[in-house]
Amino acid sequence: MGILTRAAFQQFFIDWLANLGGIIHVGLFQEPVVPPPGGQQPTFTEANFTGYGRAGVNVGTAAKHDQADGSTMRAVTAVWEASLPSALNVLYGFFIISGSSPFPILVWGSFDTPLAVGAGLYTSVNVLIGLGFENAG
Amino acid sequence: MLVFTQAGVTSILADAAAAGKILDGALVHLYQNNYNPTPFDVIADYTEATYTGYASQAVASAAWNPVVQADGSAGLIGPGLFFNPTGTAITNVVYGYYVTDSTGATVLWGERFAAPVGMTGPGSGFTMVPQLNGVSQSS
Repeated sequence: MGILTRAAFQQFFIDWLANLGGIIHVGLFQEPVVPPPGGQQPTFTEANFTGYGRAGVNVGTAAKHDQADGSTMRAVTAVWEASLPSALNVLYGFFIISGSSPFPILVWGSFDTPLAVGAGLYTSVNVLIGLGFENAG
Repeated sequence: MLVFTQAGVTSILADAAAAGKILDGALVHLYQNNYNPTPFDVIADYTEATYTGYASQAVASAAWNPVVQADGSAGLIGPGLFFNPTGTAITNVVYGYYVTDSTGATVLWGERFAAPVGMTGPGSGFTMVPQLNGVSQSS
């Protein structure tokens, strides 16, 4: 197995983000997702609380964070505001797509703790996303 | 838990191999020092081969092809590259290969061979296929 260098990670990331126009589109899902094998596309139910929509986040200008293990990442925050009264959603994680099409999902993640929003509960959702690469070799 | 899907990894690698991007014209080199590649490698970490007839070989954008492995990881596979000495004046033992950008200034990845190979003269060469796989940390 080859060992990718940090310099390669960073350049791959730059090229990828440039091709995406620097913008990723982030959505939320409202049920637990079981990781399908082999990196296949997950299935889930998207959030539908009032005020929800996929958020366009500019990662092209996000700060770069180099990790001690040689990986590198960029951190961005996506924010949603629920319009009350709203249907109750329990949010289990987020997904990232490159544009308006729901597929393919490029990246997805589960929250450590599910988050309830709407119906008099939380009115906003802040998701900090660290997006990066780790050497698989 | 954060999962890069197969589609996500494929997207990243496809962009890296696009015309004019970092893998377009990437150079594949052999190295002759007894070295294990790391994520922090720079050119000075490798002693490039010097056997008679040696030259690094370039891989153009169109020669990188997407590949999906049985385990679901996605990657790029390059063409078969034949390295073969043309004489016996200088011989080497090569321990692996490393890939740089087209200028030779930046190491992109390195891989140690399962066993060193003696490059002792014509006929002692071999064909290797540079390959890069990406897999999510969690899957």
